[in-house]
Amino acid sequence: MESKQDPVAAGKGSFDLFNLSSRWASAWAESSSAAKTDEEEPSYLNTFNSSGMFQMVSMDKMSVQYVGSPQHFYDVGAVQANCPAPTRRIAYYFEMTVKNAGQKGQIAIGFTTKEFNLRRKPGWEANSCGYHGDDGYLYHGQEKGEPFGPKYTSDDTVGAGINYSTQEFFFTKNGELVGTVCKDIKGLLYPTIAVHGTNEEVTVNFGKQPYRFDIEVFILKEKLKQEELIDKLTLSPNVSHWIVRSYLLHYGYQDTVNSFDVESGIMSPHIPTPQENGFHEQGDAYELSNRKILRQFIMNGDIDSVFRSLHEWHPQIMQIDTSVICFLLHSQRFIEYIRAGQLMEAVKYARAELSKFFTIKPLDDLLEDVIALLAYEDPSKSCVGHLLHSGQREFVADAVNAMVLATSPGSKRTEDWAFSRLEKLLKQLTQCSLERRALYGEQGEVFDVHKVVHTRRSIV
Amino acid sequence: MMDFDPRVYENVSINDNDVRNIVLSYLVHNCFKETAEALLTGTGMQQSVNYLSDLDKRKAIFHFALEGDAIRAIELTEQLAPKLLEQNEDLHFDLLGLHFVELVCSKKCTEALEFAQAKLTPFGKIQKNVEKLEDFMALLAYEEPEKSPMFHLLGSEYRQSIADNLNRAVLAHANLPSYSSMERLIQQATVIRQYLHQELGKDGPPPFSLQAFLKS
Repeated sequence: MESKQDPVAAGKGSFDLFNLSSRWASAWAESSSAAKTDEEEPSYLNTFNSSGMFQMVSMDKMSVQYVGSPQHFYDVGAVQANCPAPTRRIAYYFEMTVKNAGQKGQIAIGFTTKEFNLRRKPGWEANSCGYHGDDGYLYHGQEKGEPFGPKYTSDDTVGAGINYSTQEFFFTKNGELVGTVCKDIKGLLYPTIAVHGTNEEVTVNFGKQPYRFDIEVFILKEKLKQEELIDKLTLSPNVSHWIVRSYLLHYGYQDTVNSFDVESGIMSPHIPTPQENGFHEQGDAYELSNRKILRQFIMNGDIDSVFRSLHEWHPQIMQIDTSVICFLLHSQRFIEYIRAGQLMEAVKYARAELSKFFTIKPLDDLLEDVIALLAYEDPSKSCVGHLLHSGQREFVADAVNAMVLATSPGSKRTEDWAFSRLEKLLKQLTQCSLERRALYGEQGEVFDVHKVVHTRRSIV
Repeated sequence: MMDFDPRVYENVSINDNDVRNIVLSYLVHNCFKETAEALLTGTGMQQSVNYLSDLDKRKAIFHFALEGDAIRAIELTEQLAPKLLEQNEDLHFDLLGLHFVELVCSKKCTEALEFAQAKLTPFGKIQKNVEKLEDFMALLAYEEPEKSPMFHLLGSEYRQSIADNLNRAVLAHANLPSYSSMERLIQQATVIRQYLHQELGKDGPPPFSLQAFLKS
């Protein structure tokens, strides 16, 4: 015999309601999580990790000069940047200007891994790549290179970059792109420059000065290429329409849904009506008017009506009086007393209904925040002031909404009721982006819904 | 078709305000003024008054185009976004074509012909417009144009697509995104799931299908 799924049964009923919203966290917690650590960027030449004898780095660590005369192929003076190229972006780029090409201009620019033998030119060893000035060849892991581009010499500025979207190296000379080559080196790569002749000297630019090559346009072009792929995908107008509608239904915004249906009937007459489409709207529209009423009660601060209604309509939700939902509702009732300035009533209520939560982790910490409202003359200005905002009411409304949805018959897991389809889509998108980035060896731009929402895309 | 297993992405957290903004931007983009206002009220979101300004005008433009009243649509567009039609010749051509179709449908054939010769044929100087021009003119040859091979030009779906294009152009002119972030995100989601499906096969998520998604 199949038992009716009672999601509010012990254990199951307490699905993570706090996962619903970032709003419960206090203001400072939110802002600290928003501050992401920036990636370190190369800014000067590394003098520690070097072969020492064959080159000399200048005092400002932005130039290197060859020392002595070269005798063979293992006395190159190569230098790496102080840290590897950052990967959380579309592309990385840097430049080098040849101050003195000496007799033969045996200079090189490229990328190498941490363990690279700095007595060799980038490209001559495995896991390195280099564009050499004396022959204009590209070296990609062995002593034999291939014709690639023009040679370069004194007063030339050459650049080297990594394009993470296409997984290629690219090189430039005097502001012009010379060519690209497939990057099959995994792991972190260090910008590397090398000199290998008497008096040869080069200066490096990691971005403090403007580059000769227009890297901004290059990156923009790459971005547009990616966007084209997305642009090409024509979306049937139905998709957005249903997702938005499902969002509104999920959160019980009944008036908004009605308005939406009316306006879309006028503005987009081709989208099938709910009856026509055959989609399972039952789930989203379950108990819509009740949920709308409950939301309105909460947004108006009338928690007593919420208790009354829930007892009438869905008593099982309130069954376990130490459950999270009970905690949220009782806390909100207390908060509403504080909002109304009825401090004695608040204290009485706390004693009667809130004290039992002190023994329940993790609710006890949150309870402390709530009770703390009593400690201030002007609680709205305190560190727990956010509890008095409408955002807190919304959070409780969302929780009640989710609990009611969870009582609907069907085999969905309780957790599946926590979020609307739109949010699920966004989570999927974020997760997929992470997976795609992982396929690229954790390189490339990181997808962020927040960035998409807040960047105005103007037509180029 | 099974959709993506939710346990894979459950722990990703999305900011509620971002989600709300996405929904709101969809409503604003498509000129759902009352709905946008209802949502703002229902959620207690704060938005500046400017947010919905111009939306009325844009809505009117969209509406006229949808109804086939191209002349009014053009008039209002000139007011709200001067020079827009000059810069979007294809769109201008399509709108004038709408008016022509209206005249044909109202059996005002002489007027239609005069209008076409004055306003439409100049566009025919450009090669890519010739075929469309011929389609328009051909409508005149039929007593019952709705039975002609070009009957789609009379249909509301065709008007809808022109209205959509006009709406996007007006938004772009105001330096606003011409695709709502909602659409953008869905497109991205589809592309990326396709990509992962190709790369990972069975190990990855299935390609995006609206049916499966809405049923999940």
